[in-house]
Amino acid sequence: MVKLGSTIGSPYVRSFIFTLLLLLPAIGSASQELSEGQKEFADDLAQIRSNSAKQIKKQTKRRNQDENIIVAQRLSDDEAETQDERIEQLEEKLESVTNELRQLKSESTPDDRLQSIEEKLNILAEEIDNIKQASVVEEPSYEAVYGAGPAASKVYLKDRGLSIGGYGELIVGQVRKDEDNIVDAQRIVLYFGYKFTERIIFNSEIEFEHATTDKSGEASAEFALLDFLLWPELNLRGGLLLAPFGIINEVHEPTTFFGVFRPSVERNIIPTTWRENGVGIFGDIDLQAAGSINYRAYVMNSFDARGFRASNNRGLRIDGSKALFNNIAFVSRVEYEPLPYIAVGGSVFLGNTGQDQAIENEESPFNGDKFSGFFQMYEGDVQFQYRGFEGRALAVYTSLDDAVRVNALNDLTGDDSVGDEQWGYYLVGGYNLLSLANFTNQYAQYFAPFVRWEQYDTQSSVPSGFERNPQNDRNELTIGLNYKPIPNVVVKIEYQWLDNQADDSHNQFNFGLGYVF
Amino acid sequence: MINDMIKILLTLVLILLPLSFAPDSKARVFMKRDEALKTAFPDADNIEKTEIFLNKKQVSEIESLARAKLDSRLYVIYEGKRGGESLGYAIIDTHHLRTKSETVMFVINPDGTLRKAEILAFFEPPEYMAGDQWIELFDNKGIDKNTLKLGKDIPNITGATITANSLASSIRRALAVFSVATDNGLLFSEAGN
Repeated sequence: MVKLGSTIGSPYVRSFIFTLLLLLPAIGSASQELSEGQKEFADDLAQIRSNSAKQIKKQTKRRNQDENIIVAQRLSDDEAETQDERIEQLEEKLESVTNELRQLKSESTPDDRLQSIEEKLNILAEEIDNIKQASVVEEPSYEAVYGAGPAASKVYLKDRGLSIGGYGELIVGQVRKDEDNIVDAQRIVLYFGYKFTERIIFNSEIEFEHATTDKSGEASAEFALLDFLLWPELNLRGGLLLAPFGIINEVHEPTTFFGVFRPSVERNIIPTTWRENGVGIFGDIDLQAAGSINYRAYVMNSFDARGFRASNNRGLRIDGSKALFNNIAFVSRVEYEPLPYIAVGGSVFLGNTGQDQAIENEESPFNGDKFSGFFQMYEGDVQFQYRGFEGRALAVYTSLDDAVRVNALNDLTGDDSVGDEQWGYYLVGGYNLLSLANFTNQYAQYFAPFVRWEQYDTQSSVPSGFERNPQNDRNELTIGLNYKPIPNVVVKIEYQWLDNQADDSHNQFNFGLGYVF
Repeated sequence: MINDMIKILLTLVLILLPLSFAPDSKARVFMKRDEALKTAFPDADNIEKTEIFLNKKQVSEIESLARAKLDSRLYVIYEGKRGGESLGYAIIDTHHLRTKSETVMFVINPDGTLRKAEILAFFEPPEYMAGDQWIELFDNKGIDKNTLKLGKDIPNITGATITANSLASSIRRALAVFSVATDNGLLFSEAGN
């Protein structure tokens, strides 16, 4: 018989007692089969268990040998002494249970293994799914059941950084009678965005126009801005901004509009692509069943009155290049979508254009004058799309104060006068014939003939003492076709009848190739 | 008047600007997965998940139904249950737009039609994100070959070609995965149970 003290002291027995205590619930049922004597022993042991239960429960959470010692030492010597023999019996019982377990294990059926494989598969599937959906999976916890897996996928959560896109209008050709035919790599535009934080985002478009700066081309930042996101309804924006005016100025990717060339109203009156330096607010307001409103309201450096001409407003833009901002303009656009099929928009520009510049024209009575040159532009538009039909209507009106002084500033006389009022509108509609077809492949192709009618006059009114030039009272009919083999690529052809009140009309055929990614 | 407007706008910008430095890492992650599933099945007492492993035949069946390529043969379908009764299903899909991705949850009725699509995370600049009203056009649409065609059944007025196409494909894909999974008995319980 081994002395109890040394028995308790032996690491083997300590481990054994501890294991036994852990296994007690498991072998509870087995104890029913024990003999009377064994039952008595079991009762005693149950008492031991009850005496030390609290302590054991606490200790078993941390499974190390030190804890075993503590547990063992807590058993009083007396209790232990009476159980010396019974421990031996229990040891035997444990051996038989272990053997039973071994037997069970060896008899493990293919079903069990299948279950284990299935479980592993599920774990793998879950891991893969977590990686795929990393952005919306809860922040990984390092105590996760499956170890390092979730932590490894954490890197995918860092969905920040660079975003690249672009669009272009290539092989833009004009075939004209009595004039040179021209083909141009009109625009190659790259979009770069960078997300610094969830709230601060850089966005830009870098544009290469007409292929090379060696000839008539230019490389420009079309826009480059920082967005500061607060709430969907109200956010801030600053930088070189696209003026929120009209339809095309902000959304001019070639797949989004009919025709090789942008509508003339949105080139000659609304001088797309019009961008200046500024700051402003923007957002979307969800009106639930009543639709949604989105808006932009910016303050930007105003136009430069030196750019006013009789035939178009394109020279007014400073393009954000060392722009004068002696005058600041307010530019805003609101779009209301009552239904997804229809959008109604309106834009306004209000700003002085004199930019504190003095008239230098010795022949003019206004020589040396400075003037405000208050310029107002108002625009309204409707866009709709239903089934295969798509259409747009846009109207714009402008009014210029100090037109006489603007003429003096720019040395404009006679019928070269700037218009102190301008107006224009266009209607365009097309129908995607292939919306009638049922495509079985990924992309539904798009084949839409369209018609566009435009009428505009950049001199609808001129100051007294000047004349209108009927050449500036224009109407244009365009009939063409947009074909998109995939939604990102468009081939366009069109025929235009360009007419004006001076009757020196001409027709031309245009073609182009566009893409967006 | 114009000077007043300019002053108001500039003041607003200056006052609000510091707010953008406030920490909110969830600005573009609108909902986490578990949260989203709870909103998908608010009455559920249990949400079960099934991993769907698709064989090649099933993949091609889905691709033909969805008119879109599948980039994975593993899908997870969640099922909201209340007292053993199915409340519907959900599939969460992450797909690329331009360079960055969006994650969308599709909640599917037991009859295989879309109950709703919910954008859970969006990493492209926000102006490319589809509006709620537009997304709602897909509600209650099913996946048969003649529906869910962008430009026909679903208007695309904003010119957001890439995001709109991508989301439409993703919806068709999810509905097709569900349909094929149901037809092939890959779900724990059959739809409608």
